[in-house]
Amino acid sequence: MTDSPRMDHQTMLTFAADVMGAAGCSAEEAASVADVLVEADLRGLFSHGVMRLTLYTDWIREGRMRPGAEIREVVSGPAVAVLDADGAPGPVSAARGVDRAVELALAGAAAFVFVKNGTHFGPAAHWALRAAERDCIGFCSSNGGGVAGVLAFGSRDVALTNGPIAWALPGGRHPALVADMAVGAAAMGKVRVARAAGMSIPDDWGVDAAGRPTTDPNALVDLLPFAGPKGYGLGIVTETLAGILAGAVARVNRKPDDPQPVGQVFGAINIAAFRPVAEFRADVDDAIDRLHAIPPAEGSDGVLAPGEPEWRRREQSLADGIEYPDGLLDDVAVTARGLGVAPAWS
Amino acid sequence: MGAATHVSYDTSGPVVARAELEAFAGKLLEAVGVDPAGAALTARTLVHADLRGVHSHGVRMLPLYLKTLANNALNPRPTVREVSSGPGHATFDGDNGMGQVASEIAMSRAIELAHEFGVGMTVVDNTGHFGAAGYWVIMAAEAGCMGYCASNLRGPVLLATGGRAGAAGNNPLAWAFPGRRHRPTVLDMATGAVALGKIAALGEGGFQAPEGVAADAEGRPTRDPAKVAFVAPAAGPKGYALAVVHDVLVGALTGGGSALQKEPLVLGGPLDGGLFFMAMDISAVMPLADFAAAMDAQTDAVNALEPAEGVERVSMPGQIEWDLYDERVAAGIPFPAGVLDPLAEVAAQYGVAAPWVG
Repeated sequence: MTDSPRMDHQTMLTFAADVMGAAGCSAEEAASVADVLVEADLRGLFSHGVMRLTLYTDWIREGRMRPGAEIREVVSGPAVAVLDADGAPGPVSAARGVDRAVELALAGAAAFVFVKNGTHFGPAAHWALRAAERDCIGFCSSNGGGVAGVLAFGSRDVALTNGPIAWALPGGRHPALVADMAVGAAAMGKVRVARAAGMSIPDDWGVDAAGRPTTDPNALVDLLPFAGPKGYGLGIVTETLAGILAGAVARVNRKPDDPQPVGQVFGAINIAAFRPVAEFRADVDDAIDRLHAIPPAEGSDGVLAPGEPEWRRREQSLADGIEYPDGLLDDVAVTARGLGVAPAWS
Repeated sequence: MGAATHVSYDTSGPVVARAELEAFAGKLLEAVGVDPAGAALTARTLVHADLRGVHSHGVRMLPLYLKTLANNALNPRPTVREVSSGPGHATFDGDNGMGQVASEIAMSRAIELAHEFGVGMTVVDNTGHFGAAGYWVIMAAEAGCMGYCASNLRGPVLLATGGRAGAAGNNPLAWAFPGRRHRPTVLDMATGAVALGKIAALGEGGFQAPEGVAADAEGRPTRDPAKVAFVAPAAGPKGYALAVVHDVLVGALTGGGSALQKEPLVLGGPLDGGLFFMAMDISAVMPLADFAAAMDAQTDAVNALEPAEGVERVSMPGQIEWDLYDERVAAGIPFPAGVLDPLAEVAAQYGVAAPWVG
């Protein structure tokens, strides 16, 4: 296991783009994927960062992720569109989806774009934030194609993929307010981080093959929904929006040998339809200031706004380099070498 | 919602027929000056919650509504005014009236806009409590739309993650989707670990709050319903993020602010509520019949999953409540013991006979 390398993000951007390029992506596609993955690492969301290069390049080899795929708009309306991504790299089709949602929203009020036949697109917040950068409230969800499922509330069986659901509200002085959560008690990527780093996990994340709660990340087979019926309920919303409406199949209706296409939904609300954007941003700033003024609980360094821990981490990583957990990049190094790319950290 | 799987319903109180309860609630609201249409609508939405077993948002709310109306802190005859509108959107001023009156107008408008543009979105500033959020998204689902709504009020009662005081209201977040054989799938969840109303209802029944869901005025954990000042966010940072983002979303779009930005809540005082409604016409995305069939298939498959120990059937969000609804429309609403007592007292003060008394 290599010691935790501290990496400059530009170096990682070049590295990730080189790996995706070597795997068959165009320069533009490779840069788009690299941007999302390194941005996740900058925010400390390693489960959605460059460690995914191994999975992505495997998928390209297996034909599940198709560089150069043509993304077609198959349904067009004034506030709704459906795109068929045909297996294009997730970040490429997600960018198209968000940009289309923003375009439709800015011409009216609120818009949704559904992407069918997508692939993994990195952290959902990334795409909600892309809308927030353009004077919109951003929303994003995906019915993940991951291996681990999430149990139905009140059941021993899986009913959900561990899909994310995210919102972003632009601020002014302050960075955006962000809610980004998996419907499971944890992201499977976090379980992978624990596996790679040899750590144990909390016993309310998931169950082993016998359906018992486990602290061993290697024994975990399925996840529990967060907060019982609430995470389960949001999971059904996700399966419906990003599954059924995005031309995929709800997890609970999939047959074991289904190819598991990924569906995604991108929403945007045009703030200016309701409120002058500057006033909206000032209100968000004021709300964040008031959160900061809440007296801290014992042992807490202070109250942070939702999304703020990741913004702080990003600032620190930009200044000092990205500090990767021990061993996290070992598999990625093997992947890179296999494609003739020298890992940037050795 | 699905929480009912693990809750055994106390039904040892009086059984009241739907029509009787609606007539009673309407009469009582009229007694404090609410116009007949507003009274009937509010009564219908409250009884709808009781029919679905959501007593925290049922006629149990009436004594507080009446107190607020009697204090002149809520306008009994509001004129809901359209402040602005454009393609796919509208903004309303609720004239500090019943949230139900503004919600009926604003969700109807969102649905209309959705049928025209694909997605419709409306917001309302300056209203009272709108009852159960689920009612409004069900309206959208019954019109062939996805419904999505949120609301905010005075009173930051949801404990901040890492803090000793409130960060947001314990606001609801609701979504609904239409089915065909099955009734709409409805997620109606508070962002807190539990609704304050549910803790109050527990207190009225002589029960303690569950462990770890509530805190006193100093932000310390408590199980005593009488001492509860804050509720913990559901799943810690997840519930905290959902709550803050929606509270601020509603407040910054209406201009009415989030709970942290509004005036402090005084019981029986104005709520200064903000509402957000969205409808998306399913047929703008795919044929409604195909969607409804896929939702039915999802429900059938969920119902066929193996239940955990002590669970009768694995349910879709809102499904258990629909089962109760059907039973109760037919056989009346069996209330938990004690829940209706404060209401009977208030009704007696206004000279309105409670159908379950005497």
